[in-house]
Amino acid sequence: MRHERVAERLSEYLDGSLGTRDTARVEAHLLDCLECRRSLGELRRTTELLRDLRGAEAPDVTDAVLARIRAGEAEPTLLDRMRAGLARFLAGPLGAPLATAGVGLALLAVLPRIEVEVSIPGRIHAPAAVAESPLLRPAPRAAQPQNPTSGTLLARRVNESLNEEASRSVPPTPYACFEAASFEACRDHHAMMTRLAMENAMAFLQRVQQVPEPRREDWLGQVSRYAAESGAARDVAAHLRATGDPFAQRVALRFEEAR
Amino acid sequence: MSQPRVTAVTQPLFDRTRTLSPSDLEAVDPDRDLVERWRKGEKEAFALLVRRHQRRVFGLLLRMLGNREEAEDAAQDTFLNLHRHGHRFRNESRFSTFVYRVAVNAALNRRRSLGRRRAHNEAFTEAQAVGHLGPTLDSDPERALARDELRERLGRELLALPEALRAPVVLFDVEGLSYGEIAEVLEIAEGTVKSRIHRGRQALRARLGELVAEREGAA
Repeated sequence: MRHERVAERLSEYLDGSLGTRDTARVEAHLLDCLECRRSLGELRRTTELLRDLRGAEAPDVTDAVLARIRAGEAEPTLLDRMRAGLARFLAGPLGAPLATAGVGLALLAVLPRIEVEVSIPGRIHAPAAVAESPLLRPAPRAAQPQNPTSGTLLARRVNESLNEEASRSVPPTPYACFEAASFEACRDHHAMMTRLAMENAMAFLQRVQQVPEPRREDWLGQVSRYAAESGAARDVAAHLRATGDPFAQRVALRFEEAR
Repeated sequence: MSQPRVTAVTQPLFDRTRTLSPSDLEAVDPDRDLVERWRKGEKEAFALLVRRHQRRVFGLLLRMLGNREEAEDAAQDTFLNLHRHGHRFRNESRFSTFVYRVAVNAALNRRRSLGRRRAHNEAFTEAQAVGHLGPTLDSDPERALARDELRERLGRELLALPEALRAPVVLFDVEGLSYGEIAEVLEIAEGTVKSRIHRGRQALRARLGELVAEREGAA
């Protein structure tokens, strides 16, 4: 062991807190190093003097302390009472759900930010081209689970948290409506999506982005077909183009071409 | 070889490195019964806890504050705070460790207000200086006088240390706590405790210089 290292560990050696191996190394160094032997001796003398300070005559403060307690000086301060009250409340029947809700809200606030970094089973990320869209950049990238059974609760929570405003007014996309064969069964869903596109183009584009990529074209084909049949396709396309977003232009094209 | 010679010179003082486990605490914390009685509302139990710990608390505070009057006031503050915040003690460590933590905080609080009230050096010149511990019981008057002077000097040098170094040195070398207990009291890592104790001792050794060297040479 080097001299500097031994010099740093002399107190630990003195206190007997070094392991067998380090103790042997220090002792081997001490054999050859007069400076360290002197340091050790002086450190030991210092600790002996310090131990000699033990046992100072102490006044008996018991009566004074008890008198001050009786006088109310040991009563909890207002801050103490507030802390204690909060602790009791959180431990009570209302506290646990509220605390849980608080943690849940905090998680919902944090999860969309971290999901880019975390791979969640059953999740499919939006393609890079979509992610680069200036319009959509503020929105976290996310997609519905490809398979309903493979989506974890965590993934669903993340997806649900992405477009809170739109989710309030429009129910989540039924998984069955990702299939091209389900056009007739999903007319209500298509109607809602068309209305969303008319009223809130950005929210609609986020919905598009959430659809798993392998199913996105089919799904978009169904919605635009419904819009065309109901006579709303051109209006939807106009709303989308008005956003100026490149991704919105491509989606608008689907509505313009829909028959 | 010369191994025996070195061992004789460097034999470690004692081993206080082992940290107590919860089961150890169950068995060895002598305060547990009194603490339980106090929590159940028995006032006499708290008085007994004060009597049991006040000497060590005062010793720590005297070394931290350097003044008997301040140390006594801080000792009262310590036990009042202990009474006020005793519910925070969770039986995860010895009760004495908790008491020391409260005492260190009381010392730091009082030192801040002390600093506001008067200059640091004035404390050294008072009759109730840190080194004054009452008469030394020694049959040889000269030796007793030398010893008192040495303790007084040591007390002054301790006070000159930064608080961050003084507290671990006092808790380990004067009060006899383990590294683990000091880590709990000061709420710092055990490695930091070791490092600060060493730096504190080295600083003291340098300040005591010739005193330590003389005694070493004479021994």
